[in-house]
Amino acid sequence: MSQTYSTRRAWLRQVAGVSLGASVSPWLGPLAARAGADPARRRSCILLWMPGGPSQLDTFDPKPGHANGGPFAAIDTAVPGIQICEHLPRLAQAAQHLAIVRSMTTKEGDHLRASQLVRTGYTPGGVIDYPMLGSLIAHQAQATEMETELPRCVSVGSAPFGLRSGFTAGYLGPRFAPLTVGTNYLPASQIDWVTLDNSLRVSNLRSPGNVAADRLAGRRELLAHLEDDYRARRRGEKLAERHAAYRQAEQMMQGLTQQVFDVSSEPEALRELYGRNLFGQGCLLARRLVARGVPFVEVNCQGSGERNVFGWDTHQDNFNTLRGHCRVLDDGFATLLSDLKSRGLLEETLVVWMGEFGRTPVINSNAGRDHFPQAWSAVLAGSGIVGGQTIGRTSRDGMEVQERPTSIGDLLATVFVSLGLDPKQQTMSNVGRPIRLADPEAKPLMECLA
Amino acid sequence: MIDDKLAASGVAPVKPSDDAEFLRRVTLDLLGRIPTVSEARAFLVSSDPQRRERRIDELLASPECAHRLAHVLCEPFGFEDGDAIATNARRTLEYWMRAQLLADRGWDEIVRNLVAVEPRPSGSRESQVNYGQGLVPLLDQSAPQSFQEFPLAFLQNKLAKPEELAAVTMRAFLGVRMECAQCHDHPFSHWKREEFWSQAAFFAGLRMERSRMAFGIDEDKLRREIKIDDAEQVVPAAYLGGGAPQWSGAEVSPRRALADWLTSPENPYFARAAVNRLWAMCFGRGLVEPVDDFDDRNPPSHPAALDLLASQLAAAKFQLRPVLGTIVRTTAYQRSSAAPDAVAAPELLAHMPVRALDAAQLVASLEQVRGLRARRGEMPINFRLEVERMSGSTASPIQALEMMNGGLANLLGSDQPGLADAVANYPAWTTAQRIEALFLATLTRPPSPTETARFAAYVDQQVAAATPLRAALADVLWALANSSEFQFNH
Repeated sequence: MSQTYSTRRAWLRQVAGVSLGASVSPWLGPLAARAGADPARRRSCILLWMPGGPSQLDTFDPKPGHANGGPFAAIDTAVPGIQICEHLPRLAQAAQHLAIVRSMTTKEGDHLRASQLVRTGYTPGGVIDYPMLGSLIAHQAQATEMETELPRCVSVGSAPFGLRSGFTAGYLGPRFAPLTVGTNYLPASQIDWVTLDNSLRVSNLRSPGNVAADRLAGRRELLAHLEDDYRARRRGEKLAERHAAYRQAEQMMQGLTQQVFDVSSEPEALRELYGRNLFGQGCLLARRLVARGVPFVEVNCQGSGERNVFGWDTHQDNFNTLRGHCRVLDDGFATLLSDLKSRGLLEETLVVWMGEFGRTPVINSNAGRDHFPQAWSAVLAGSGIVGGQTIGRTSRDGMEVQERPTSIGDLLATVFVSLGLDPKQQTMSNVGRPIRLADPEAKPLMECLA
Repeated sequence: MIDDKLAASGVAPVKPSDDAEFLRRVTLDLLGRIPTVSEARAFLVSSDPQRRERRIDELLASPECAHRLAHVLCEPFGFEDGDAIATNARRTLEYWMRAQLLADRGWDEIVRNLVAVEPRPSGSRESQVNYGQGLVPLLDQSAPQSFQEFPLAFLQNKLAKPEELAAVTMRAFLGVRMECAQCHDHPFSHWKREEFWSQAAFFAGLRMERSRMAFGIDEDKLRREIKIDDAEQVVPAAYLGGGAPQWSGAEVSPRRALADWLTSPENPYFARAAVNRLWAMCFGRGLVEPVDDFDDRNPPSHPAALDLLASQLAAAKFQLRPVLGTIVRTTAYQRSSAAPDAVAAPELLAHMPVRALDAAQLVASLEQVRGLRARRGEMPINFRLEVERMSGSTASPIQALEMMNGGLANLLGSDQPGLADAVANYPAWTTAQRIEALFLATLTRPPSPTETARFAAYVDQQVAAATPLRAALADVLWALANSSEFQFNH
């Protein structure tokens, strides 16, 4: 047995960075069937990330008959029998697209650790530098349909914890790191279209404005001269990689990237529907990117920005804060779904909504809710997902999962399968140990998958 | 020894490096930055036949060398890149490490001091760390240590968790990856789950208390066993390969017993792992590669060389810098990196591999070119974090964009005061001389005649078209700083 392992390991080391491993997944059947329909078509994923931990009772898992439900009412949706929070009316009308998973349950209650767990699928803290979901997806994506100059992994809005594990490409390396836009802090009162547009542009795509064109051309020529000379005399894998990166950067400067990241060309009526805030316009940008085949876009939702709170982390004044936050979420998410649908993109785009945990059903003394990983909600929509249903159930008081407990591994496995990827696929980590896309114990939610 | 293996494989070594190549390489490896213009000039015009020897001695004796060594030695401790808090924590540990090296402490002593570092209980003044901003701890000013040194960061970084500290300790100091054995018997190696946890047991008494802005670490020094993760099994602290520790009493941390065993002369891994890291620092790959993977299935490329260096380290009372000196004096180190088309297997060391600069080297070198001294405040902090994220392992187009158009371009390629400005203003120089100064400052070599002609033509042309001289020189500097030759160690 040790012989097999060592040869496997040696072979894995040689193909480091490439995904590998033959799988014997039982869901290969439906996967193959879907791929058979259009094997060249790759699916994209949009992650709507709610930092801080969004309250499930006040969004997708209301408890109207119970004190824990709080002052918000529950409303009917387009799907008989399913109700969601009254402050998500447009999403209620789109419920036929949504698979609402109400039975998420995890064990991390600290923002950073929980974010890392949920965003990588693995418990943080050891030596393995797990890649975030987006980097894994970007890594797995083939370049067939895509314009190769566009980045494969994009993040709108800043990572709340700097660049800690869970927000980076981890061991997959900088090539699969997210390209981040929309990181400037924009207080709600100062948001206008122009500021938003500028915020969403890719930085460093343009040469510094104070340098004349002939000088720009001149110095590029000088650089080319140096490069040709040096590379004639020296070889090396790293040199070749760097050269490729510079070439691609120059390609990106040609204009397509700039053009795609420019939302100002979109009709104003549509922009208003998405919402005049970073989340809404970020969703619009996400649509533009997936239309061009970008495999992964993440859009951070900091909420209405009017209140001094970290995203959805409503330890106090939960209900007043959420009125604004839900409005922003509702506009962005619902418009995204209808926009994708009307362009025929919804079939090939998976939309995932979640945060790092939920919030306590019991309301605290500050009219707030605290961290609650024991029972929370996530939502899937789009590619390969059977909408119009809820998965799992929490108790009447919301305190525990009663049906269909779902781990983050299970959810991510579902995400991978719906994107046409095999969750048991392996990548090589930084410690020489192969890691599967989803943890080996995970089982995708088959009832979600078409 | 290396040449023997080369000859045996029938691969011809390349010629030795020329002076410019050598100076740049050894300065980058030993000091973590490129040579200054004056250092370059002095070395390149010297006719002293011993100049390389002398330079090596000077570099090794420099405090910058201690700082570079500290940086490299702290690398395996697992501080996350790109995060302001972790970066600052790592720096405080590096300052401590540097102080130890400057005080000529041997590596064995340093490791003992680190692994068995005295914890600071919560509530003590020393434990106050402004966690939210990652500032250095506010130690009592009258205490002998400098307030920037904080060896406790070693424990703090892993939240004082025993299993993580055990894993880091094994990797960093013994070159052994035991993490897989945390959950089950190691699939490839011979480590058993119980063995892993017997190491974790030494750290079992540690506990970290975190309040909003501060933390403290307590230790129950009598606790010498640990419960495995989710299981019921309790494992006592024991040495790898058997042997029960002799406990020294209730006042002494069990970690001291571990530290003594780690650094004892009988431990076959300790010295070898250390010299292997030094080798990797100079060659980009260890004699055992990966450097933290000493295993029967992963033998060293040159076992005799490894053993020789290990015994040299032990004989020199574990002083690291003499071993570094031996390494950079080898013929293999002093070979050129200009390789013929057929590239031989890297472990044969037929030529020096071309290595990307790591983030610290890149930042330090850019700061120097820019004309700033190592005063951190001067470079925009975003740019520093950006560059520090560019760890050089794989370049990405985003990094390339940053280098071409971002902070770097603004600092170097524009008309701000700095090197280009200084060179422009130097009286009585010809264009060719100004170009030479810029080449020396970045590439540590004078330009070739073709290059001089080409670059001077550009500058003169621009000036004739009414561009300020310093702007034209800034363009030259931009090209030099964005070149592979600048961004790689060859």
